Amino acid sequence: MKFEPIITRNVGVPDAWEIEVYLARGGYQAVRKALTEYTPDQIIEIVSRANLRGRGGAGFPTGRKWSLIPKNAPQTYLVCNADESEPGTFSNHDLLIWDPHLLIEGMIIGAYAIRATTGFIYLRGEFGLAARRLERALAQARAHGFLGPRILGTEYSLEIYLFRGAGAYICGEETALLESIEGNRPMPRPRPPYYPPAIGLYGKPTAVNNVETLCNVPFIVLNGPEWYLSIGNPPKNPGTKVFSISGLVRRPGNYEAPLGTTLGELIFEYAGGLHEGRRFKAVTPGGTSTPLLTDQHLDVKMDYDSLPAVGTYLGSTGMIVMDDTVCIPCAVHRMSTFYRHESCGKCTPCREGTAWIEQILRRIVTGRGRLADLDLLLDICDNMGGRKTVCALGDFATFPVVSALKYFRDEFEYHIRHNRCPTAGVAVSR
Amino acid sequence: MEPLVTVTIDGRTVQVPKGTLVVEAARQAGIEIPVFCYHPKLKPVGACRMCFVQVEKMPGLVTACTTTVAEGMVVYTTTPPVVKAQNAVIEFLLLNHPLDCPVCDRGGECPLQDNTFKFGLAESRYIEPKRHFIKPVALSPYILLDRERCILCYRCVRFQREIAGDESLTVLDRGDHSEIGLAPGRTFDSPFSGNTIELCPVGALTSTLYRFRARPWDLKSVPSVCTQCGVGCNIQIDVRANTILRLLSRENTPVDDGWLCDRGRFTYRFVHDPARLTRPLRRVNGALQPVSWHEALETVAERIQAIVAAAGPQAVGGLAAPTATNEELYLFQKVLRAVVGTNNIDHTVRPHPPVAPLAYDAVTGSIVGLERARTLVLVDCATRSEQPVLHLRLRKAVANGAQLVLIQSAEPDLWTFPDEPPRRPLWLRPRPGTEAVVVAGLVHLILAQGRENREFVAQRTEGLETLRASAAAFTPERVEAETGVPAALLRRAVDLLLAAPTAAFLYRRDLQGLPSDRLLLAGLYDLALLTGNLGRPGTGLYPLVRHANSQGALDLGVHPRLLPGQRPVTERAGRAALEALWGTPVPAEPGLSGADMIEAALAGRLRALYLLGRDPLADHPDPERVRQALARLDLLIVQDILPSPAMEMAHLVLPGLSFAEKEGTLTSLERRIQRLRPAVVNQTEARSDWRILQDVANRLGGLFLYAGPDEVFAEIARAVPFYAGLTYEALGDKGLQWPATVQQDGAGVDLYADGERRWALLPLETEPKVVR
Repeated sequence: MKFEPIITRNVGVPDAWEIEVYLARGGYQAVRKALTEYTPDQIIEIVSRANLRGRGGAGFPTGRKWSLIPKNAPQTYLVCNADESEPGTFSNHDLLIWDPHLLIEGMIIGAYAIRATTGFIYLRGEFGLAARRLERALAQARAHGFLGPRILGTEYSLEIYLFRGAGAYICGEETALLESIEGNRPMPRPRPPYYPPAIGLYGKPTAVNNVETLCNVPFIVLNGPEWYLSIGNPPKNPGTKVFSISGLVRRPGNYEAPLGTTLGELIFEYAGGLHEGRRFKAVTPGGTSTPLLTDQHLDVKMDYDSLPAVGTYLGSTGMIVMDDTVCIPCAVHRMSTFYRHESCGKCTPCREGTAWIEQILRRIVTGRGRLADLDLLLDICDNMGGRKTVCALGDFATFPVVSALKYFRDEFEYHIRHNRCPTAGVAVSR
Repeated sequence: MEPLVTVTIDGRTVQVPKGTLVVEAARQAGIEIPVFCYHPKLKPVGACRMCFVQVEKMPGLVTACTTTVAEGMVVYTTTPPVVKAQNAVIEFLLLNHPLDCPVCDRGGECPLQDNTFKFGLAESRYIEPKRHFIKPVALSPYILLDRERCILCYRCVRFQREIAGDESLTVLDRGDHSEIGLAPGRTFDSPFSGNTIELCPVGALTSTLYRFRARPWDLKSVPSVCTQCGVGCNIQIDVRANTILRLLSRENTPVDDGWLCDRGRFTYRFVHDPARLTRPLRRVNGALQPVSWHEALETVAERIQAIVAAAGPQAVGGLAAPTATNEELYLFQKVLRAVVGTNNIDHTVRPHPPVAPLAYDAVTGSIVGLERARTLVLVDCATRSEQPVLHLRLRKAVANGAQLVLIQSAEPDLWTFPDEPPRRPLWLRPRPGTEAVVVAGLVHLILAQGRENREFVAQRTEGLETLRASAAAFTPERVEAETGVPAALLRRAVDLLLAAPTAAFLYRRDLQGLPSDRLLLAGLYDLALLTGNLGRPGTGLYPLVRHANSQGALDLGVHPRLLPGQRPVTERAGRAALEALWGTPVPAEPGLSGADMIEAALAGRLRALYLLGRDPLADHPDPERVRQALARLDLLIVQDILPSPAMEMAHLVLPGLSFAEKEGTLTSLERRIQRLRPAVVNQTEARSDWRILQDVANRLGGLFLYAGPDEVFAEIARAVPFYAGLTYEALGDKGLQWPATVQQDGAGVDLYADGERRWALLPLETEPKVVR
């Protein structure tokens, strides 16, 4: 069962963030191979054949994203989205603090593929240790000639800048992230007309890739697409995924597992299962921004295509596990508090809807609910979901509410009728 | 021009240019798509989500304000999903919006009210406590913000950033706690701030002057023109109970693009100033005492006649304000020329700039034409303070890619440009007073490099060799030594100028009164001619005037050396035409300028001075000298609306009417003649200025029989050749540019477009000449 880690292989290795250790463990070989043996288009071809899909959550094929960048554009940018802030998600953080050079290596190859000479790492503001390690790693990479002019004696030059965010969840949305780098208030851009491959950072063609996506790239370049297609759930879901498993499990943590590993395996084998005497109730498969799964879904394969078949998404694979002590209305109210707090406020349905949902749920969990509130909640979710907002945050905010009402409507009704939690456990929010 | 595409909206087919937004295409098809954040003059943000529509072959709902049309697009605006989404957005917006409509300034003219009525539901399902803020908070002395009413459309923030060019306003906090506010460390002191009140789709931004003063349906609205500067922005005067309560922008796109500056918007309370002059006054025993109009006018006539009898008509002079109407200015100079018999007429006590070498002393292009200029050369302008709404037009041109070349020593008057202008402005910064040498240096470089527009120069100009000889001295090295502007920058400016298909040259018409003014003016004219930038849209010379009717004063002969029609008094033909029209002789010798009149009064040669709305004490560089001069006069007549320092020495005071009380026309800096309309009735004894002038004329033996300003205008149209074909009625609500012989379709009229005349290139004379 236990899987030999690939992209997290350096996590836990002493001083893995130092370039000497990284080099000793075979680091930067992929950059050498990419820059000396392949053209940019060949890199895109390799990544496309490997069918690497975006690990940020949407699963968009990375090779295709890169191929959308115009080949003759005078200026392009590669931006790494390291603004990991999805509730229950902490896998990028491990990669960033343990293996910053792996990300840098992936970025060099990705930037080379889209002919970018400037890259940005947009790092979540709270990640202080990661910031220090990345700065150090960038300096080491420059000193070793992996960054800067004429990398490894080739014609290719690249500089990567670390940009630290200031703590807004919305900055993980790629157009808000670009606004933030440009020094503007981070609010998502309407698409169209803004479409990063055409009008991205500073109006130039831009590829925005997640940390984990880029960390896969060096291994694909070194070992080839056929090797990659032998892992996970190919052909459409090859490779591994780092699952962040938290909540009421025995061994919370990050676990790299092949895509297609079942929900049950991840919870009960990788994360050690539930505490003594508890029964599994629900999980957020991809952070709180994905509809909940329940005990009827334990055999579902965790990959980009199997989860939509059961009405949810792989998302960030931030799995918050809830057992039978958890009051679902209270847990969902806690999630709605997060979305109300993090809505950027740009567009009406999300700004007003997230607040309204939170207010109603607060009434319910504090004993002032009405049965009519449940259908009202569903209608508010209908009015703000379904792509009625500028970015996906509006939809995200509805997912836990709608799925909880789908699977656990009886708990909400109990709360309203009895003015208390249906569970014996400690209420999550009061 | 983009090619046309055909789209179908709710079954109606409409053809619009490719790239048009669906919301605009629907408007053209006569279909209203409700909006809050969208505004045609601002970039779309897609924030309010009110404008959802359904489009065939596109999933879900799309916002009509961010979606552009495509050939064959089929749009639906009233399907059940659209209606549900519209209902939802209205409900969302009203969650926290206070229902204080009965006491809200916007009530009755509120887009939120109107859209709720048309696209919303009558009931809300919201039972939670509403969001509360302390209210209102002052953003500036003029503007208050009610954050509870705000629906966060960001129009105000976007206007300030995109149009006005500052970041004074911003969004603070986040989510449902978002609020509009001042950016940290900023003040909302933009000269364009008042536009945000009109842009606000709710009553969140209100005017301190108007707040709680009226319900919109009780207001009477009168279309008129702003009199605060030469741009001539169109306004709507809103009146209740004979009191002006507010001025609003009244869009006349080629003039103001729908904007109004704060000076124009908030300067109206003087109309109701308790200190307004209400009765004629006559000085008796050293004190001004009320008299009847009959007595006042008789006294004026008697004393002028006595002075003319004793010292001749040259002992009489008149100064008129360049804010008076065309009709008043025309009558003023007619009284002095035809009845008194003098050319001692002026509209300023400052030195006149050198005479313009082209046929007319006027802007050659139009305000809207500036949008088509690819290079804008600005010499020592201060448009943000002196012609504010024109400044916005320049910003628009720059945002659209025009190259700016600044020639001035002062910091560019808080010049603000779009965040990332497509082309960086080039600022040539000469030592103070040496701008003319820089311009001469540009002329030199063009000729030295042989880069003049040969075809234009050959066909439309003469005197190239004389110019070449005189320009030879202005080598880049000399210019650098004299002005401090590096030769490389001069060369760069020439490259920019020559690379542009169209270039316009803007400068203050009144210049600085420096000895180098003649060189500066000659250099600018030569630059325009050598580069062929005259007579086409986007080209030309723009001598910018300061006052609401400075151009009218020039056009109508309120000038010691110019008759109506800008014809020199010394030319027989011009005089003869007027003599035929007036039936009286017109004096042939040039009169005293305003500055000379002050000196002549000091010397005792000028004995009577008639001031029409003009206080030379406020205009002259040496007020004490003016005071002494006025004190020596035997007769000082002050016709004005408010007390002024000059009134303390006046022998007679004649109360006139303000811009909001009278009728007449004004000519803006782009030669646009526009109508003032009376909005309030003056209930004192004050009289229309044109009528006072007519009464004075008739008591002096003239025979003025005008029934109103329209009849005066009809005579102007006969007296001024370039007014030919204009009628008072044809001016309408948007005005017309002279010459009126050209079809006016909003694109702006260019002088000298016919290409018939040859213009003399002016030699660059280095020795200073004193010119009046």
